[in-house]
Amino acid sequence: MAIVSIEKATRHYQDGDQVVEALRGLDLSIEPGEFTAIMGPSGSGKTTLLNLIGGMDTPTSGRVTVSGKEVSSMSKTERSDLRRDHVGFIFQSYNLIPVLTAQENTEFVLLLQGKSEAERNQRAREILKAVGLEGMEGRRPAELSGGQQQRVAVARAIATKPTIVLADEPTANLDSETKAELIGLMRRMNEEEGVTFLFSTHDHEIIDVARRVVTLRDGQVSSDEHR
Amino acid sequence: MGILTAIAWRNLWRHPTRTVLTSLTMGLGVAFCIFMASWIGGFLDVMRTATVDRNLGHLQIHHKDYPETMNPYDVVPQAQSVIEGLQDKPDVKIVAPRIQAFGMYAGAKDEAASGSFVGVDPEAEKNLTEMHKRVRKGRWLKNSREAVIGHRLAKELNLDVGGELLVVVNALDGSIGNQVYPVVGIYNSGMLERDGGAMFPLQDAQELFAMGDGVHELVVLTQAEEKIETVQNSTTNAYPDLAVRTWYEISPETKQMEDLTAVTSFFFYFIIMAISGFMVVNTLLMSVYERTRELGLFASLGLPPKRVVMMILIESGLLGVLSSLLGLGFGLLGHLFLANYGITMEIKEGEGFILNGVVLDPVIFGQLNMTQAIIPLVIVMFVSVVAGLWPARRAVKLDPVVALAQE
Amino acid sequence: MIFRMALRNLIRRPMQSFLASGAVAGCLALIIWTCNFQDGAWVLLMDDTIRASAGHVVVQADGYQDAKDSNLLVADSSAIATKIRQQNPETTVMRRLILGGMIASPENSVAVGISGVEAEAEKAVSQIPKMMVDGEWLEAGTSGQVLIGTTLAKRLQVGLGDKVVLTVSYRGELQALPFRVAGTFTIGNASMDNFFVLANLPTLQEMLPGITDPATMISVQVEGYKVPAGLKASVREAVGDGPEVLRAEEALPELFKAEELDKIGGYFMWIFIGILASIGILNVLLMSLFQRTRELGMLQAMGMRPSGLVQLLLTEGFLLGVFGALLGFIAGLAATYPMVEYGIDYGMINNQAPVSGVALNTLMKAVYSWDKMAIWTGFHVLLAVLASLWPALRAGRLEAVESMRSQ
Repeated sequence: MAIVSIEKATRHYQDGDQVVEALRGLDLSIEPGEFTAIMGPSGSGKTTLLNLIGGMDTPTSGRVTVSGKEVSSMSKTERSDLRRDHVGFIFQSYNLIPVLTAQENTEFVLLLQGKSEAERNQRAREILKAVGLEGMEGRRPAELSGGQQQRVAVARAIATKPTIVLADEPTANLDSETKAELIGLMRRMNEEEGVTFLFSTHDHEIIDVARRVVTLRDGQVSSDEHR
Repeated sequence: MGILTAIAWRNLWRHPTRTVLTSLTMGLGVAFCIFMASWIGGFLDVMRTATVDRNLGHLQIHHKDYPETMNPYDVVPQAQSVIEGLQDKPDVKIVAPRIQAFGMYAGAKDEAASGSFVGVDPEAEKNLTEMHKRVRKGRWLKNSREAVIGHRLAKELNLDVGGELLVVVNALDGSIGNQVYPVVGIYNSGMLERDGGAMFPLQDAQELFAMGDGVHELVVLTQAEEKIETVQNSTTNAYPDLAVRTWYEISPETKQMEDLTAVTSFFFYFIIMAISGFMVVNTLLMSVYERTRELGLFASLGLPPKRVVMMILIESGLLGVLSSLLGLGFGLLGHLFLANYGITMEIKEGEGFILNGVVLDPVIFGQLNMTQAIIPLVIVMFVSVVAGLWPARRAVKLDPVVALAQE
Repeated sequence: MIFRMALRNLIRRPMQSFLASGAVAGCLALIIWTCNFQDGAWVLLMDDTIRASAGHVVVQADGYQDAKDSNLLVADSSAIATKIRQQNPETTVMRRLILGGMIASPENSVAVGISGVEAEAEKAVSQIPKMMVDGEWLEAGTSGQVLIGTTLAKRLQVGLGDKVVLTVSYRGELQALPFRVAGTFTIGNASMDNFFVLANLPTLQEMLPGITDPATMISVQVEGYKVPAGLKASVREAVGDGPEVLRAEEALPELFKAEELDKIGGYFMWIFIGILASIGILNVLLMSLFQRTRELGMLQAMGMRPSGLVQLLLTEGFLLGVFGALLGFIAGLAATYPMVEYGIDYGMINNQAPVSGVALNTLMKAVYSWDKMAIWTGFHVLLAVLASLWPALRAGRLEAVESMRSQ
């Protein structure tokens, strides 16, 4: 049973006088436990696709279903709840909450879910330890290196055991050594914890380890390769 | 300069909400100052009307001892020639002679009372103080051998128009003068003292007091406020033996109120200044923070720091202009409302505050002189530009490399 | 956690937070200061006026309040006063006899108001004993003493110990009696210094034939200036039917009306200042919203509901308000302190009372009006929350994709 399924999704934007067709009838489905990379040139629709799956955006036409729920017909609040309970995000520029510590950033989504303090605390420690940040729980983003910040972002994304983690160019700002470590981390999370990852990336080091590579071109899937 | 102004102006409108809110705060502050000035102006006007226009006139001339002693024997010597001399001066509009004394009064019934006794030239007084407009019942003095009485005295004596007033005074020759006058009118002058007494034609008063053609007081109205001191000086020179005093020497309270008002206005201007400064610093600092990268770009393009400062100061200056215009608009609206409708400050029915024995009119209409409207504008402009200095300084201290590296 | 985030968000932008809460603090401090000062001035003015010209409850002849006719007197006044004292042992009861008349010296005669008072009791409540220039306050049991204003003394050309003749009219009959000047005072109010005479009650009573132990008013006074609720009824019970019994508000409507008008003016100004403060906060919060759009977008990406964002920004506004209000409260208190301890001597500004014929204490002190300070402080917190409503709702309407895209 697919956890994400997209049928004939289109998404049009108004950009000045022009209508930009970011997606043009895209079909895609994702199975649990996948480690999938989406590649394609700028403007091929990668980010739009991730936004649709994450309920950040709604399709102009077509259907987007996450965990059996139809996203396109949801209200704003319902989409917030969808993200909270089923989706983890990792961004290119880390995007941690600057005023919260690593621990608090990780706990934040659990807090939104209404988990008890003890449960939050324990889970956040566990997950920070798993991503190799033991001992740095009390630091704020500004006191962490880029690689460490992105580890916190990973920890935050998987803390709620989401159905799927969406990572938008997660390695773009990192040097190669840090990058390798981070990819290794995500791979391990995928294998050990069974977290489903979906990347948008240009990065060959991710594409090399991905078990499925989807290539987009002009808002449609041009190739879909399982390894 | 032209391009800097253009950049500064467009920068302001990158965040229209912020610019509007900032200039709205400062503008409302300015408007408040203008409204207050209009209100205070109206109040002072009411006060002046009550004291100067209705009683004191611009200048008063007395026997040199009279101001201190108010002794009825101290009459103005050769009053008639002084009056004629004054009337010949081109700056003098009206000269009105008065007799100021006290009398014991009685009506037809048993009631008796004492109160002020004022002898006037009915025509001159009409032109000078418009006393005839203050007559509430009956009419103003016209013929000889008649009296108008204050409403307080009327109440005390239970006397009405058409009744007879018995007056007893100590005449200057030592005799007791007494006379009965028909009451032709009842007035409400707003002056507590005068409303407890009565007024008579000058000649009757002179006869009653056996004082020949003597008078106690000459009230002078000049052609214009600015002429007061000129007339005072020339009169003092011509008659060195007389006491010649301006209304503000006679009633320093009114002057003091005006000075007090100046202090109050200063207080308000200060508040406005503080709030405006706060707002401008806030807006511009934020605008500099968020444009760090852009300012770095300007620097890397070779724009000298001086001109960067200039650009930000122009921005703050424009904000000041905008606020001033808004403030002037709102302020004048407020003033027009006040000038047309007025605000009623009624202490008693038909009576306003009582100041030094004078009842003020209850309705205060706005009065604004342009200086008062412009001062807050100037202050806001000044504060805007000065408040721009800090963000401007910050902007030039930026290192272009660091600035460009900022997201 | 929302609370913690809000707090840290504010701390992260110290300058903005400081400017926003500074605006609140400045405005609140100003309001608290002027409010305490105004209240202080009124407490003093009300206290002086109530004690000197009426009483917390006052007993007068029926109809006196409306007619102010000096012929309307209460007979057997000490018997009534004793009854009131027995009924209300905690009160101070004093009698006054107020007459119109004339004071004459060999040089001049002036119509004046004459107040006959109980020397000891009056000394405790009147401001005039502090304003004596020459001589001493009235001595109980010594007959034939008068106190007059310094300007009146000049007009009469009399000094300490000189003889003057007081003439009063009662029921149509004139009664004259010689007095000696026991002291002179300067109150600073022209009508008081010119037309006000004080004498011992028993001496003055002797001048009125055909009425035993008369008084114009029997003044019942308590501590403070608030009139106790049951006092009027209890005095009425002691007095029985006949004379009118009035609370201070009924006896001095002008005073209370003037207070009301003055306070309305104050509220108008304060609310305006509050509005300025809230626009200031609104501006800062809106700016901070624009700057953080991306961050807020990320919060949405993590599944924070729109209502959560609204809550976050409202909390920020609330914290700014609380912080600013606290600061303003402290600053206001600090500014009030010297005014309470030392006060301002406004003697230079003339002695102006809304009710004429009262000598006022010229040392004006502020009071701590805790209830009003609390209300205004709360009002400012509320203003801050209200001001954050717009930015908060705007944050709630943000589209996640849009905000993520903004820089």
